[in-house]
Amino acid sequence: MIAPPRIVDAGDDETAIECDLLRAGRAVKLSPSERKRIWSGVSALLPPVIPPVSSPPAESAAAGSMAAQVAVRGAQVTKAAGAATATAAALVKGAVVAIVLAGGAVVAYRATLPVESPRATGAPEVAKAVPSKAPVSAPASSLAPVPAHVPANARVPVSAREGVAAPVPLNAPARARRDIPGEAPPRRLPASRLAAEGQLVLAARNELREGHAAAALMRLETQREAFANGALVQEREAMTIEALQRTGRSEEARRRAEAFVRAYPSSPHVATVKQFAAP
Amino acid sequence: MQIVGSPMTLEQIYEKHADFVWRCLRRQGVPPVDESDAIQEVFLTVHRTLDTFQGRSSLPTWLFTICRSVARDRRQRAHRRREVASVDLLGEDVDQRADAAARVEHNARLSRLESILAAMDPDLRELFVLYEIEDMTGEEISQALSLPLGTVYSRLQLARAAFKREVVRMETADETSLVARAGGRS
Repeated sequence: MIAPPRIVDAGDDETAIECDLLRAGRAVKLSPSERKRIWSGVSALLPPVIPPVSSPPAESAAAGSMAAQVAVRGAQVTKAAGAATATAAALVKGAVVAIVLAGGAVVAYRATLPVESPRATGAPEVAKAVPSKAPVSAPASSLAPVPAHVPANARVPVSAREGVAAPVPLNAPARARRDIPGEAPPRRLPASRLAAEGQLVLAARNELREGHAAAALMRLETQREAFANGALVQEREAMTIEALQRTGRSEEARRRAEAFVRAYPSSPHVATVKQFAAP
Repeated sequence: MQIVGSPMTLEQIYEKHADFVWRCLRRQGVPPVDESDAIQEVFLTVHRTLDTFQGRSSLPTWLFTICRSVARDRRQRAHRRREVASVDLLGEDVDQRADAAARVEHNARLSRLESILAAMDPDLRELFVLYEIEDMTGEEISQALSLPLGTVYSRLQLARAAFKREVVRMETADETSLVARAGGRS
């Protein structure tokens, strides 16, 4: 089938007016400043491949680089284990999905949760760590349980919590020190609502991790309206549900978890949230 | 970060296609106030779903489908708070180097183009714009709109005829109003 030439390429007198109109339509472009502004908003939520060395990395940079390492480790370990290709692909996919969920922020939230949680023992914990986008056929039986000797506040990489990897610690301690709330104020003004929303998610994640669930909950709930149409709605709601659970509001957590699963059945957070939906 | 299945990084994709994405979102009825956030959301989605892309479709086709879904969400969230882009808004986006007269002319053309497109059947309009303004190929449009290639081309013919008809109608209306105005003055 031969594609007809485009009107703007035909260039005959008969279509001159049409040509002019269509050219105007083609010339609609973002202004350079707007283009730059929007990109800075996007990149603020992306994990950089190499964290900056000369200056202290922003919170998201630390989170992002960690997520990247987790992914690389996931890939390497899977390969080393000689797993079936399909499984390898699935796991790598899982890791990548985890990284990009919210530009590192949520990954860090997941990856740095204290191991000691109300449901920290045995299979449920393992299931919690596996991103829901990973196929159900992921070899659950090969997943080692989370080692019991890990201290409550240790930062356990996703791959270790999945049990796929031998729990060789990442070089987290150096970074962990920078993650203390209060030491990581926003270093620049939010480039947009999305960046502001990302910072909210990061701050709440920090509070949750440090055991300040009530503070996290207040932060999340008071800004719920402000970001009602935000891009990170799922991430915020998943954290809110966890914060509710941790502050003893189990019934509310359960109700909202059920609503979450109904609203976002294919969300990568469903596996986590479902734990709170159980009676 | 290198995109799996694509030789381009996210930043390169942004550089090349940000305008396309923006135009798509606007045409899909994303309220102007939400445009920046919607663009960011599209590129975060690109980043988030890059592992499922793997070059199965062309980049513009993929971006188009993401835009469509982001725009749908935005429209729903905005409770059908649809606003028509004003000429002023369009004016801001024209190349900053262009001089004032050229910008005025550009805006006038754009405004005409928008009214002509608005008068077309929505399905034909979408296909027409993707081919004639966005330079997508017939195959890409066929994938993006889930239509057989033959249907794409046959509808393109219909769309072109409709577009031409509207152009002629607009020209005629202009002349008529000029004549009327001239008549009124005499």
